[in-house]
Amino acid sequence: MDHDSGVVARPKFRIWLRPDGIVQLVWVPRVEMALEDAVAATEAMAELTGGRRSPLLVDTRDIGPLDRSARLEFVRRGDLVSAVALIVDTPLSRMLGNFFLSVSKPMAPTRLFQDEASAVAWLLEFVG
Amino acid sequence: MPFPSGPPPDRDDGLARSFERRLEDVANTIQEFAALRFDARAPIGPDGDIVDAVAAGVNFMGEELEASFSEIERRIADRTAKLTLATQELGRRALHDELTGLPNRALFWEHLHHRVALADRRQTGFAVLFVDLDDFKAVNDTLGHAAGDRLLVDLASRLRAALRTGDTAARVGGDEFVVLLDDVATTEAALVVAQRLSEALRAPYELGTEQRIVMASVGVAVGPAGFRTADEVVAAADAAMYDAKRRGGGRSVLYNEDLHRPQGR
Repeated sequence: MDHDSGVVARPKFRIWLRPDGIVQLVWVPRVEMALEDAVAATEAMAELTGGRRSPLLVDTRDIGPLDRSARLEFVRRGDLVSAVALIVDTPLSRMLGNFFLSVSKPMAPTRLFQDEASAVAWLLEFVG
Repeated sequence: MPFPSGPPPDRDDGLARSFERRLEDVANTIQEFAALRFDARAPIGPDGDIVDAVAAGVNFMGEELEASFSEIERRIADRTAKLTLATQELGRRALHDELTGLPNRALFWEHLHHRVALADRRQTGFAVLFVDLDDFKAVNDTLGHAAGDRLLVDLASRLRAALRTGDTAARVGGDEFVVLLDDVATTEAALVVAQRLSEALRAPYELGTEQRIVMASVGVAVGPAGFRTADEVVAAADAAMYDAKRRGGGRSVLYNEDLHRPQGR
């Protein structure tokens, strides 16, 4: 983690804790994500929050393919999140979001949004 | 969230053909899945458009199909293995005495039938010993059936230890055992084995805090001469065993056609 900015940067993503208590995750555009990437992301979130359940904002607008093992890892680490908002715009990112909701069935409340403002407004309800 | 349908209306023919080719790739991937080749993947382009969304959805479904298929195969293999073990165990139980683990009557007769059938092709003979414990009832009556069972289990161990590979000892009744000596050179050799068995069975049995000596009456029938069937051999050994009992028990008696009359058992 960059202690000056509070940002955890990895080859495929950046993640940081916002002043409003929401954790924000941005993936490098169109990279394929596998299990090790999901593990890195959840570990980074745990590092930022000290393991405390926190709302998570994920910008999936330019996201690449996410394999099954990675999806299952995010569901498995549902203990880290109080709610998840996925920002989608392209058909591809909407497909990914819908598939995650209906097939992977995350335990924490999860919704899709078309813009960051409405996603943040919803997530603020889950700041502990 | 609903998806917009079809390619954007301002694309030219080249892009429309590209659109068609991309859909063909997706269709080909679906056909691969239908052929159970779940590692196929439809290519996803950089634009994230509707075709990319369909391709991603098909890929996701392929992953789920593959995982489900693997799980089903694993469960089938697991159930098959358990069924095989259960079938083997049922087969074993059908042919063995539950208390002592010795072959039961059915398995003994199977071995004896086979040995009698081979009589003309073997250079040496065989023998059947009929072993009946003397005063076993007294053990049950005075020490209880649990002690009686322990005695029978111990006796079975002694029988196994006294026999050679290829011989068969079986429990055919409460306190009745039969032994097939598969390879016997002479009648005297059979009697030596019978005597050795009698001595082994005569050693004290540890039954809880008590020690008991229980002897056995042993009837010996040596084949193949004079016997046409397995039933005849066992009947002869049985008749000789009864003679041993009449003489006071704790001894081995060789079947003698002139002296013994086989019992109808």
